[in-house]
Amino acid sequence: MVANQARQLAVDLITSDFGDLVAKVCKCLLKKGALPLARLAMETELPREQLKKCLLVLIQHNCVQAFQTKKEVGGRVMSTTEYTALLDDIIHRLRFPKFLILIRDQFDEQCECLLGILLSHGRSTFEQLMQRLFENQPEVSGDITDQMRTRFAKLVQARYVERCPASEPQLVLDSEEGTITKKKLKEIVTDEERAVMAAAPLEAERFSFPTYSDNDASTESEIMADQSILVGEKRKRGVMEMDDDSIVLACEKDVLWRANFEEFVCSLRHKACIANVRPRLDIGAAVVLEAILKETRAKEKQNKAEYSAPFSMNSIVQALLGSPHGHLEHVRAALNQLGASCTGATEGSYRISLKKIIEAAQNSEMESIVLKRYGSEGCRIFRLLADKNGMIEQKQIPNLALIETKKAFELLYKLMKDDYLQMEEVASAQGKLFLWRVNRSSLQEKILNDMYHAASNLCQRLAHETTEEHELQLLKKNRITELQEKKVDRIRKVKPILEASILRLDDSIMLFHNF
Amino acid sequence: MAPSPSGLPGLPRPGPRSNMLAHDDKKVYEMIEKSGNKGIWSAEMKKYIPENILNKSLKLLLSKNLIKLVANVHNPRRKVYMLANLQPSEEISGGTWYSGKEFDTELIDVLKQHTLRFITKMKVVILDKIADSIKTSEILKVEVRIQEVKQVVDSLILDREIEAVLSNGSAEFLSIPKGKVCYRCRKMGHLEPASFVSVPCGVCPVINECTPDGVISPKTCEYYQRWLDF
Repeated sequence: MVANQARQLAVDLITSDFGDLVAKVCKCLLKKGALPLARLAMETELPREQLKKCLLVLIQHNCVQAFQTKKEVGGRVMSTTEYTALLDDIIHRLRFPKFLILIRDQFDEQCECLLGILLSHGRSTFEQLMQRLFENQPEVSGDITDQMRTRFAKLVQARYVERCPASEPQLVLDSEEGTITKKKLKEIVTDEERAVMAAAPLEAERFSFPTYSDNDASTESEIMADQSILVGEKRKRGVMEMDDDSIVLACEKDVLWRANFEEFVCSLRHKACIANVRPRLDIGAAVVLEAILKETRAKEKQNKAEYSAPFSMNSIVQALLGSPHGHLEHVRAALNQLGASCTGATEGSYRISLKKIIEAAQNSEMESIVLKRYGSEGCRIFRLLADKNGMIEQKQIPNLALIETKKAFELLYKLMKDDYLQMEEVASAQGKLFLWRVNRSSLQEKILNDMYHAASNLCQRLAHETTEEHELQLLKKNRITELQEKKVDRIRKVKPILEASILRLDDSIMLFHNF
Repeated sequence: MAPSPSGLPGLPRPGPRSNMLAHDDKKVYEMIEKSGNKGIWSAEMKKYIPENILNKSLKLLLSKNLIKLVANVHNPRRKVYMLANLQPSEEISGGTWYSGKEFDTELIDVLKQHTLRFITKMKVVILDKIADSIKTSEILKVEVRIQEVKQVVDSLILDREIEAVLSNGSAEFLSIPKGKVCYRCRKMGHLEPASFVSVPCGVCPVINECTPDGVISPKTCEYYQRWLDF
């Protein structure tokens, strides 16, 4: 159910960025799953050439992944190329403004500019990036390019930019023993996930961006990266015989880069955790959590990790040296508030449950929705059942929530009708019993679905207002009536409201889906 | 009027009076007597006595002041009868929170506000102390019971105004024995309004019928129109 509204939102985003034809192809792939070119042509009824161009746009912008499958036909193994749409990556387009702000805050405006090009032009080589960056400037000095190269290396090193995945990987068949272990195969269900997994570059190669050896900014990881390039590229080009500068040059010309959404999501998740802790606990706990997440980021291996990577009290005190919240006693109190637990692996090693922080944020978001929709008494009933984390008999509810019986029953049925609560009828010696509960996972799914729907509606309304604006702008200035002028003014006021609402709503979508 | 043998002034003595009743009236009287302070619903009695006879008997017993009609707060339309000398049980009357048939929302609000003010003033406090403060405030005309105070406190917890914590016996909990449940104000009392419900779709009653080019669509939505025309 979630996927339906999410798919519609993805189609809206593609329509607004690339037009109706590309959106048609994308919609077909999202609806039907992975398809080969011939089937896709049949389904979309588009001419081959047009369809290929649409696919190229989608691949260029990391919205579609191609992959090869082998099938046995009449004793011969036939290889076909299929295309699958990457739903989550398409929806990330909604977050591009957030990604850009994040980079500006963490690095500078030039880095933001580099990322901006990667996001608006899709996958690019470093050379193409530089061409686009300086396209309006007739002469560019080597110094400026060097500065940009250093900035780009920083973005790669911080994992915000990564090498593009393989363009057409061979999908491992279920029966084959490939690089994917059996256990992992069980977890991976869709073609989309399998294709993404098969296309992903090796971890060492993914973030390697060699820079010229005389560059002072060259760091340890870059040196390591240089080595991995040597290994990775050896088969293709025999770079063993090349000098370092030629490797760098080759890398800048041939290697395609793209934004690494995983890292952005991880950073936004950390930010959401800190933002949630600040009002719920206090600023001290938030500062300590921020320091912990910064310290342990490099060690964090999994997306959506349940716990932070392990850390020692000492490392946090060191990191907060000079801060008013960095005193040992303060750190100890903050860790207590944050519910830090010992990892058990080594003595004095702690970890924080990020899942619990996210769950608390999700709960307060759900309560806030119920409060607005059903009022304080409806919210009290909802919290009573959510806190109980089990079932409560109908007759007990008015008393426990301190609400008039009739009103309580009315609210219960209203909440059930809208799928916020579930009711079970049980026969007993005293007659029928009605047991009520909050089913957290199904409710989250329902809320997420509604949020995707709302976001899709906002995007459609924004597109509608923009089209109207364009139509009005096409009119000649002297022909425009007063009424039309007022309309243009209204649209100009309305668009920022819609855009801001989309970004705010997306915070909640990320909270329920990506975090 | 001389006090009746039952000890309650003005109320009839049940036993001997029922002996003077006709057979059917006596049967109805006994059924009501058996139901005690929970009372009996007239529909329940209809199962055993024909309706016309039952109605006559009830009328007679009411006129003789032997039984009374009581309000059932959970089912206000039901006619529930019990002996005139009995006080209805809380199950029927709703207890302290009902005045007659009406749920006393005002009384609850006053009690909640008083409790919240008291907890804010005291920082950390145990249930008994809250009960004492309600007693001395004389908000309630009747004696307040600890379970009713607990109901008020629990309702404040559900409103996320206060939270229950266990005393550790030190610092702010110094005056409270270790391990005892106490109450304090929450740091984050009020919720930030969710972004979802600040757009029309978040509270839309017809969201399920809304489609891109349908009769109800975001392009023509009236709620959007009102929201954007502020």
